[in-house]
Parts: sequence; structure tokens; C-alpha cells
Amino acid sequence: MARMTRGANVALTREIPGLTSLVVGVAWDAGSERVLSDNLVLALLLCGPDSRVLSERHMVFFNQLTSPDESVAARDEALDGDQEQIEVDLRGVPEDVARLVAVVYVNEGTTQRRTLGQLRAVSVVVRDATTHRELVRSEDLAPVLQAETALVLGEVYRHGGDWKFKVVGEGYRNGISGIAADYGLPL
Amino acid sequence: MIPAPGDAPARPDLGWLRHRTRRVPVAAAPAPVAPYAVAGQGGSGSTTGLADFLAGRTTRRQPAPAPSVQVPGSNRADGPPELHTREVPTPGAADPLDLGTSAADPLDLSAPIKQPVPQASPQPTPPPAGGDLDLGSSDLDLSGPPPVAAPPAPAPPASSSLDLFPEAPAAPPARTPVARPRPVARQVPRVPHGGRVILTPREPVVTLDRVQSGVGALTITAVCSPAVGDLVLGAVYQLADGSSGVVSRTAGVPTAPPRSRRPVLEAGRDEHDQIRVDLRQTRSLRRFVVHAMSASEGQLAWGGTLVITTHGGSRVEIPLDLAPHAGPVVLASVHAVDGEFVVRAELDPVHGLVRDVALAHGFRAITWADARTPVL
Repeated sequence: MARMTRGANVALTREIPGLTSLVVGVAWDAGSERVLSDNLVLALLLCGPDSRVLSERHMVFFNQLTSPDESVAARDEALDGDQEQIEVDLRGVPEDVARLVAVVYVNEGTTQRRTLGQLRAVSVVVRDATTHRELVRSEDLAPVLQAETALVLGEVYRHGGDWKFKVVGEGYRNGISGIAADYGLPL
Repeated sequence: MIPAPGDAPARPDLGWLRHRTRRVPVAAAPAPVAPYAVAGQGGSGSTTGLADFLAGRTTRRQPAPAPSVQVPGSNRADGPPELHTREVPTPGAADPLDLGTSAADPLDLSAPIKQPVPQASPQPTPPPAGGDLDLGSSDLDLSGPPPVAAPPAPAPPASSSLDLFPEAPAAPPARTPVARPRPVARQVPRVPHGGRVILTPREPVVTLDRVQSGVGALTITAVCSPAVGDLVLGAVYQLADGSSGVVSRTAGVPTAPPRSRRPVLEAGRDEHDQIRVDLRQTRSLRRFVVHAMSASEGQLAWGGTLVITTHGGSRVEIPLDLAPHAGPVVLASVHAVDGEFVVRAELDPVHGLVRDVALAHGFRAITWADARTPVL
């Protein structure tokens, strides 16, 4: 299967009629870096058309398992070889949510500092939630990462009446704080 | 019959039945409810009063029920036949559907109304319940809203046996029905993002949201000058798996769990004594208390502030203004509730040592070598 490069996009619901729910997952290889893999977090930010998070309730991650409307929900156990997954019911996403931004970050909760540059591989995967079929997978985003501690993987966004997916692959050296500042997430 | 409340069917349409929160009586149901129940059920007045009390409604005892609210066509088969007096002219009889009759008038300052109607039945009126839970004396009606507030139009609960709205209007009232009041959402004090909250004895509790409780680390620092003395912070914790333990830099257990490669809590010292919570593992933490004591077990000249900082820089501050006290003082407690940390200023002096802190706050799944040393 061809892998999507940074900046590439695909019209998900137009290409696959009847697609109603997605799984956005992240697959990483941290090698023997247990501290790094223990502290990586996948989050989905529910943003308006201006790419600003609607509220602190609109960050879905391991400590906030659903969005207020419950259309976006983090999976307790990831399947299919991903490390973390978040499920999106496209029909239930509220009208004021235009973009679902998938990010992965190193949680800075311990004194042991790790960076995404230590990853051997990382990519974002989109699957059909009902059939588990893999729809798209990004290229390996790890090779250009160095001291970054957060990474915008990609985003699922409205376009006309359709949902599209775009690979972003933009790193942040100031971690989730940098992403929070850019996307207006109140930390 | 009105069955026991425990046997009554659930009423999902009456959100307030599930809450004990006292509500302002704006949306309070019209008061004919209570008199009717009294009329129909004689001695069940205290049951109704209790239901009203639980609903947070102020009701007034009406020793003389107003039979005028008996709607023609009402299918209450259990009412005594003597109650067929709906032709009796009463103030409310002109409009039998008027739910805002005298009994509901919150501006009515008079004592419980003796209806000028001859008693419909020789049935003894229920005595005014003196010692039961009816806290809604008529005095409280003074604070009620003006009577223009339209009564909500509940769905006809004809099948319900816990018949709090027996007089469901056969036709909608003149005004458009008001939407059912939303369930009471309890507002809790929050920490503004990037801002600070000072906990006081009057406002001792604040709740961090799930992002503040789940991103980065929570750092708890005793910001004290050396004049305070040799203050050390410690913590007693309970994890989600039920295990409990103690974190103390000076007792040789700086991490929780002990000897962990990946501690949930960690005691350390930077410029000040500190306890750090790894929020990547926030879901494996149930609760903990932070205490301070003198490392030499002497007396401290209390002062300074306990500062709890989130990853985003929001701060919860607890001033440590305490009388001199020898022994540990529990400064704060943190409970994980549904992913949110509820932080409470305790400032609770404890006589004894760390073991007494653990016992005083219910951490009983810890064994002790002596009062300072847990067996971990």
C-alpha cells in the first residue's frame, strides 16, 4: 500500500462511500527505550474551522476518554499493531467541529527527558472502525525528528460535505505546550 | 395507593428526583400537588412532605384540601367517593386547569388557608405534621418568585404510582409550555488556565479539569523560608489497585510505589521540598494526602505557602498559617474523581508521627515497623 507523504491528503468519505466511523492510530517503534514509549501519548484535538480547540473538554486522550458529545473516544486497548488509537464516529461529530487534529507527545511527568528523535519509526494510520480495514498510512515521520517532544501527525477535516485526511508531520521542540499554544488548547 | 418510595418506578423525566441539591423554586412544581395527595390519601401527608423536601420544594400544609382541583374526568379510582364535589364554588373552581391557584401563590403571606368551602367529607384532615421533615414552612414562600413564572407542563404521569403530578392538564395551559428544567449541574470551583486559586478555610476545595490532571506533572512545593525550620514534605497515597504506601525523602522511600522504576509519586528537593506526580499515570492514582513535619521531630514556626502547580502553570496555593504544633500537619488532600483531581486544603494538625497521619486519613492498608517506618 502506498504511504502518504507529509502534506498529502485523501478524500476519505468520497473514496469510500458508506464510511461512517474511523480509527485514528499511531504506530511507533521506540526500540528498547521503555521510558520513551511509557510516556508517549496520542491525543485528538477537536477544533473549529479556525484550528482552535473548542474547550479543554475537546482534547480526547487517556485521561479524557471521550469528547462531550461522545463522538470521539479513546480506545483502552489499541488493536492491529498500533500503540494507541482513538475512534471517531463521523456522523456524531458536532457541526462546530471542523478539524480533528491527531498529535503525539512525550509527557513531561518524570525527570527522565526523552525526545521523539529517539524513535526508530512513527506513523499515523487511519482505519475503518467497522471493518478494521486499514485505509491510509503515513510515511515514517521519524527520520527528520531530533529534539522534538511533540508532533502533529495529521488531521481529519471537513471539506464540503466530505471528510478528508491530511498528513501533517510537524514537530514541536516545546512539547504539548507548543501545540497547546498554536491550537488554543487551555492547559 | 402510593407505594413506598423504594418501590416506586423510576421517573427519568423528573430530573430533580435524582438530586438532593436544593433548588431555587423558580421551576418548582405548582403546589396543588401536595393538597391533592393529602386529600386522596389521608395520612400520607408526611410522605408527600418528604418527597417535596427531597425535591427542594417549599410547600405549605393545607389542612383543608381544595377539592376544586379535581379535574372532571380524572381517573383516580382510589379517591373516596365523597370527594365528588367539583361543583363547589371555590376560588380555583373557575378554571379547573389553573395550576396556579391559591395554594401555589408564593406571595400569599397568610397562614395556611382555611378554604371557605364546607368540608367535602367527614374524613379527618391530617394533623399538621409537626416533627417530620417538612421544612418548607410558609415563611419560606416569601423568597419565592413572582407568580408570573408559568408552571412547567409535565408530561401526564398518569401511570405513575408515585403520583406527584396527579393533575396533569388535559389541555395545555394558556402559556406555551416551558421546557423541562435541565438537570442540576453542580458547579465546582475551577482553576483558571494559567491562573491561580488561593484555598481558604471558607473555600477549601478546587477541582482540576482532566487536562490539568492528565498532562505533564503536578508539582507540590512547600515554599517556606528557612525561618520555618527543617520542614519536610511527605505523602500517604492509595493507588487505583488499592495498595497504599508512604512517600518520604527522609524516611528513605522517595518513590511510590517503593523502588519503582516508574514512580507515580516522587519526593525530592529543589530549592524547596517537593512532591511530584507523574500525570501520565494519573489513572493509577486514587488519592493522596500531603503532610509536612519537622525532620528532627521538633516544632516548626509555621509560615509560607504550599503551591500546587500544573503543567500549564496554573497554581493552587494554600497559605500555611498555623499555630505552633509539634508533629505532622496534613496540608492538602488530592482525590482523583472521574479523571479530575479534587484538591482540598486540610491544614489538619496530627498528634504523633506518619503512622498517625495514615490512620487519621483512613489509609489502613499499610503495615508499620514503628510509627515512622512503614513496612513496604
